Amino acid sequence: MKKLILSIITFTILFSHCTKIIDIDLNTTDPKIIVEASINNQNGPYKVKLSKTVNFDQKNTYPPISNAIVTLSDDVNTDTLIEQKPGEYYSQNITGKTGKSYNLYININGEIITAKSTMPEIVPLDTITFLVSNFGPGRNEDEDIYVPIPHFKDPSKLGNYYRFKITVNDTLDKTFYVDNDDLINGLEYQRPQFGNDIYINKGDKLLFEMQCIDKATFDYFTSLNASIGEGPGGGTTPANPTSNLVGNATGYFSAHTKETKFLIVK
Amino acid sequence: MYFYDLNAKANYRLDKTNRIFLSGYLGRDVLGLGDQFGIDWGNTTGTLRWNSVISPKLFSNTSLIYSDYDYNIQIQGDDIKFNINSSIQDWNLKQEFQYFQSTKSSWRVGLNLIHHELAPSRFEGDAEVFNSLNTVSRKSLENALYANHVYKLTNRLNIDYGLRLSVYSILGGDTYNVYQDGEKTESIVLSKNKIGKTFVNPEPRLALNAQLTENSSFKVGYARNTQNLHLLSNSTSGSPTDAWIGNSYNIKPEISDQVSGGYFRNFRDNEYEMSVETYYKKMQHQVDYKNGADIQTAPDVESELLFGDGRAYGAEFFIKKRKGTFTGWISYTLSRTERKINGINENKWYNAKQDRTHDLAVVASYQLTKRWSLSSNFVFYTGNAVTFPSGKYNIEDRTIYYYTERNGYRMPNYHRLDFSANYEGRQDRKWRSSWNFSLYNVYGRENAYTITFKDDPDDPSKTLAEQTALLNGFLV
Amino acid sequence: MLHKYIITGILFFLVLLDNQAQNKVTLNGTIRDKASGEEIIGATIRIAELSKIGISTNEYGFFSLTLEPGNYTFTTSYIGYEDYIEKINLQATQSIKWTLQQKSQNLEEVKIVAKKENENITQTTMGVEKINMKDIAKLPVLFGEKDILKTIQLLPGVKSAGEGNSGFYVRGGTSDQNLILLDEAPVYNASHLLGFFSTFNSDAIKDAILIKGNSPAQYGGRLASVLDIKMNEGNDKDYHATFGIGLISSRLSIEGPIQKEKSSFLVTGRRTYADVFYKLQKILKIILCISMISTQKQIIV
Repeated sequence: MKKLILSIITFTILFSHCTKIIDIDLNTTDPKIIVEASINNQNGPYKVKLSKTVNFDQKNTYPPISNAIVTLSDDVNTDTLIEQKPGEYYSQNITGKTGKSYNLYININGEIITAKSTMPEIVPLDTITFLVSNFGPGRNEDEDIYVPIPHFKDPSKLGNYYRFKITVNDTLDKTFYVDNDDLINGLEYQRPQFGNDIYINKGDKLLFEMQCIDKATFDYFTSLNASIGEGPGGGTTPANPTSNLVGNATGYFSAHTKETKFLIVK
Repeated sequence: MYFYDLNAKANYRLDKTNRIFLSGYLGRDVLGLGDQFGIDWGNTTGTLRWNSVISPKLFSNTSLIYSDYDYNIQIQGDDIKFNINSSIQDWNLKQEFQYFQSTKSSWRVGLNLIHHELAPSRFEGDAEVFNSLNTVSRKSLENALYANHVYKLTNRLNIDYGLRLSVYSILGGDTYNVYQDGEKTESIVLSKNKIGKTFVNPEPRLALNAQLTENSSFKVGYARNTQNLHLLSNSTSGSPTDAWIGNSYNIKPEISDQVSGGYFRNFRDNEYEMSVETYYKKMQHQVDYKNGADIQTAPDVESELLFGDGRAYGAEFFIKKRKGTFTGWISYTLSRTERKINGINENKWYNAKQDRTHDLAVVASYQLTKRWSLSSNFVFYTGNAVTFPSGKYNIEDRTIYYYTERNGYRMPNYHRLDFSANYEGRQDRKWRSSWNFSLYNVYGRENAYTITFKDDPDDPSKTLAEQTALLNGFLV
Repeated sequence: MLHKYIITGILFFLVLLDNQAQNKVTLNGTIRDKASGEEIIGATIRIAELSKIGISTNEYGFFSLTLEPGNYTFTTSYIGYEDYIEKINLQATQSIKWTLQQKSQNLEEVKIVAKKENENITQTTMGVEKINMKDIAKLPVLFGEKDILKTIQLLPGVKSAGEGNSGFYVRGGTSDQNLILLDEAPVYNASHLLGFFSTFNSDAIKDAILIKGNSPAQYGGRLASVLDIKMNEGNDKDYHATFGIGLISSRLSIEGPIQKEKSSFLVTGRRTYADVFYKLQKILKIILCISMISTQKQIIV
């Protein structure tokens, strides 16, 4: 919530500004390994995506990493993933269950990356309501925007972490919505999800996905959000997010629950 | 969005040797957007001061000082309603004696007792909707005892030396967590009225002046300073919600040792003043943040902190014309400021964000006629050290930037020229008026306020850097 | 309890020092502004017969000089004021009250031949900048607001924290390493409107000094610098009102005696026009993207 406030302040201070595109000579870097991996409580296959970084002045096409050995395991079974598209590896027979821990193992030409994540218990999503707002940086001024509010009961034990994914008219909102129960432990969750990518208007089709994630995944997305938050004066010092991967790579491995709701905004 | 402030002062001469002052300040900024969001913040200070001439040579000053800074945020939606507030409140008692022993020697001794009360972000919401958080405020005592002596060793040599003993004690009433490498290792529960960890720091101060001639002197100085309160701010511009935090079981007092030396010279019967000063400063226990730290929302911000050293050195050049129809000054500083923090940039020295290699200011005023005068200033400085990406990657189809080092880049150089014309109105017995016309950023330099990186809106397969300028001039 | 002992100890120590100086007499007192009766901080007193001796008034306008008995010519001076000269046959300890008259603002008098104004040479502490409110009155300003925090950024060793920012960096320190005192009270956040203006209304300020790290022992608590700002005290002879109209704010200040020559008051207020930024958002967009032209009128009644 505080982040929203800060972004409002930043917006206000920048109420009148002049922008231009500039050239900056940025350093180049050796390609780094990026891992996006998850397992959830619904049926697989589960996907692990491996790619590499590129230099800033290159195109937004990220080279996939092929021919890696990728396995997902719990304490009994080990599943070796199959590369179906370049850089995308899919599981065969492992199934995610709540309360269980999962291990990720990646071997890229001898470079080993491992990670561990525990799938939390499921917290059922009750309903979605909307906050009708008449303001938001960059919105269309004549139209009210609808900010979704998920409602559910937070369990009485402290330490629940949530992630929401919002798809509007078949387009995924690129905002990383994550939250925890620091302030609402054991109470009803009813926080509006202010995003910065897609504004929802009347009549839009909405697919709302709720995930219960572990702390490491929460920390990853929180620090990712901190580093992409645009602050004034060169602003909050950006940095690479904290990751639960062990090895020379960045990204995340998340074992999480998944529940979706589809609705039309009225 | 508006602000106001009010200053008030009253003083009363009790008799020939005693005098009382009461002064106060109240300022407030209010920012509201729609019906849903409001924030206000401001300072309040009050000083009650008693001057007394105890004997012809002994002067006493007693002050009771109150100081407060707070902010308050309110959010009111259809379903939710809450506010966040935070404050820092001081009560401060000062007693000082000044003793004018002789024309060669004067003393100053004093005592300063401060009681701090720091309330971190206090979150107040509907009890059905929110748990309350961080409702405990932390209290501490910051005391100091000092003595200072100014002495004329010879006609040409003066010395000013002293010692300040600073004592900072954590007062009970809250739980303090101890962190090692970001992991909590211990929780210390301090009950109310109990004194926790105490930090004692002697701070020696010394200044020597060798007057070479009537118009020139050479000075050297050394000073140690300590700082027991630290501002947590992750942005360069500062925000009203930046919070102060005191020493704790993780945060030690910041310490700086500065040595400086300078040559001072006046020319043409003091019409021109010139000086060159150099300094070297070593700083310990500097506070910084972990990479990717979120100091605004972390439950215990102390787990997000990193500590290390700093060093700064530089040379300052100053020349001023003090008299005549044309007056003004040129000041130039060549300097370097670095930090070495455990956990940042592989524990190597790197440029601090406040590092500025060059910093130049030229100020000129010209008395055109009896009533009209013109003034102008020009500033130039090296851009701040900032962190820019060295690469990029993709997470869930969003472009994310990859960073290799903190503060490895520079903002573009900043420069700006301003003009003003002043008119002094005719002065008669009752009325006097003056006008000031100012022109800011005359040649319209678009100084970078921020530089952001984003996907090219015209070609999403590319990224670009966009500079935002505030207050840029008319040659846009 | 401990504090009582400390204070008693200090007093005892000072009395001890006092006994060393026998056969000498002391001249003490205050230096004030003739028109307003306000004490002058840092006025210098020189003695013609003892060319090497010169002292200045302390932060409360008080001074004390201990000399052999004799005939002396005292010259008191301060920037922007006429010198005051008085001959005294000093045989016993005495208190005086001297007043200095402000130079009128005529051009001819600005040209007055330089006097002994070499305090920058003689003072011992280094890295001390005195900020004279008259000096800054004519500098270009943003939105018609004179601002002491913006002016000090033009001094050597002091750097601006950025555009539209009242934060400053002194000798490699961060902005929170500056101790900002207003009549001895620390000001924890010295900015208005997110940094575009400082909290210090220039009409209320009498005097300010900035010490860049080499502060004497009476200052402490911050690493980089001390900015010690003193507020005006108020005129104890006559009533005065000052008002200023700026592009975004107006100011009013009233001062006068409560009891003539015994007590005085001063009240200064400033407020931006109601929601000026919010309402003028669109207009400002145009104004700001061209240039800043600000006007300000000040009338003293």
